[in-house]
Amino acid sequence: MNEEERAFREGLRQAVADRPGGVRVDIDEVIARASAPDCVPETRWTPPRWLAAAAAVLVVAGLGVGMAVLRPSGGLPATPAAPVATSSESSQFDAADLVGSKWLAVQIAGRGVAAGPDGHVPSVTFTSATELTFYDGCNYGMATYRLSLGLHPEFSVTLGPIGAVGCLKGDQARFEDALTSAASVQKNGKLLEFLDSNDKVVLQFARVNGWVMPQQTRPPSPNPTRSWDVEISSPATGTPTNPPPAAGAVHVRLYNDTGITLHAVKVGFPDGFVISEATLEPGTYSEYLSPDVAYRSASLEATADGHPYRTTPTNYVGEEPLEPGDYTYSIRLTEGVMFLEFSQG
Amino acid sequence: MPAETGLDADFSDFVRSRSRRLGDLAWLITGNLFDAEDAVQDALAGLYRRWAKLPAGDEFEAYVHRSLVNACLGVIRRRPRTLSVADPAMLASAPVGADPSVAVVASDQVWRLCQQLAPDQRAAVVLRFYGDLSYAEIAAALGCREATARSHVNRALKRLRSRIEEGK
Repeated sequence: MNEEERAFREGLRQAVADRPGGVRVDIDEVIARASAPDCVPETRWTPPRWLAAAAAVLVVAGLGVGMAVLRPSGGLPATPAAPVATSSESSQFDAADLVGSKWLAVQIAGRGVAAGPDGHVPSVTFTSATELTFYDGCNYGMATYRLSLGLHPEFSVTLGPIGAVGCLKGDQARFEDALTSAASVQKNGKLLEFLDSNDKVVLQFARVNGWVMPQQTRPPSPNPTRSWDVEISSPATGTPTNPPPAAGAVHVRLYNDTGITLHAVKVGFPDGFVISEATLEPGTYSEYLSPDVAYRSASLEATADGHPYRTTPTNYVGEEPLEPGDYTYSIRLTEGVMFLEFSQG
Repeated sequence: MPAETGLDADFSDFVRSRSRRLGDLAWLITGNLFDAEDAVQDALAGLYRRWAKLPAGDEFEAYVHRSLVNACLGVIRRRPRTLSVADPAMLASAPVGADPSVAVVASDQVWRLCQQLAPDQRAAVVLRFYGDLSYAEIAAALGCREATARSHVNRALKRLRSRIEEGK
């Protein structure tokens, strides 16, 4: 054993010896965890920054529609309330539509939204006709809201309990200030906008549920870095037989290393590029695809044995785009946790 | 409280006899007590669910280690990234021996270095130098090739060597 090995051995033992307190194991909790129906360790899915950005771009594509002030239930008659089926439709909707909906912030006080320190995007979820929960980019909180009926709908939000994790105060405060300064709310295309008493938009959101990525193959784009379409490749069978990808670009593929068949597989990068596979058999690769930019880290969504798995493992702070070359994201599933393992080749 | 079944009693014995060591490993890999407890509970819960079907002997040990490592890596992946391991506050709370000898300085360097390693690299180092596992066993626990496990450890050793030399 050499000097470094000895140092490691002694260092780790010393660290354990000096550790304040021990690791407590509660066997009753272990058995309770094992018996819980959702024993599969939670792989939290808070849509990553690129998802919000992609949503925003999709919404922007539908701009040009008229602005429609949110109409409370029982308010003005005339125009029939209709769900927003396409981005080009007029977007009046009933206030009841808000209940149960979740919205990701795309703009706060006139500034674009960056993901929080854990890579998540600020959001609000309307849990009832009077209550909402929010995520300010760091902490989760609860609030009550009031949407008055009548010819001049009014809207206000009163903050309730907020989580106590210390983060960047400025970003939190900006979101919370905007939330509490809201005096009215309107829909603008697919965007939900909170306005202050001067009718200035202070918060802009894109809806999470009901937002559908267009199912089409990405066309050649004169400005490829702003292309957000979904790549759909044919189901893979064994080692890919497609010709070797051209040199000088980034090529990525998936490998199912879980041992079971995966369905609805989506692996995405911050710029909105998504590798999508309807089915990926165990031990098989997807085709190589060529995103404009790819990173070591990627978000993953898939279904296996009827269980949905979603994970966005990292934020992208400090992540550098991959150099041109071939890369593989191996999807692994161990102990109920699905994750990606990155490798070259 | 209902009487323990044979399975429960057997599992309880296992937990009692192994939880301290598993906890130590988890703490070294995750870097904090809260995450270590979470990881150990997760790993044990997974083991409990499969208890009657688990292999015996060396394969059992490999399964236990793999469960623990996966649980640790899962906890690390899931936890908010609000605190960097290089955060001064965390470093200040890192265990440091009171003896101002070279050995203690080296220990401190080891601890700090460990916290800066990638999670899977850190797991390899901990299993190697705290768990006394062979490279084959580490590979089984990490679900990688033996050469990869060896590479994780060697890179960490190289970094430690540089640190020590810088400090001389």
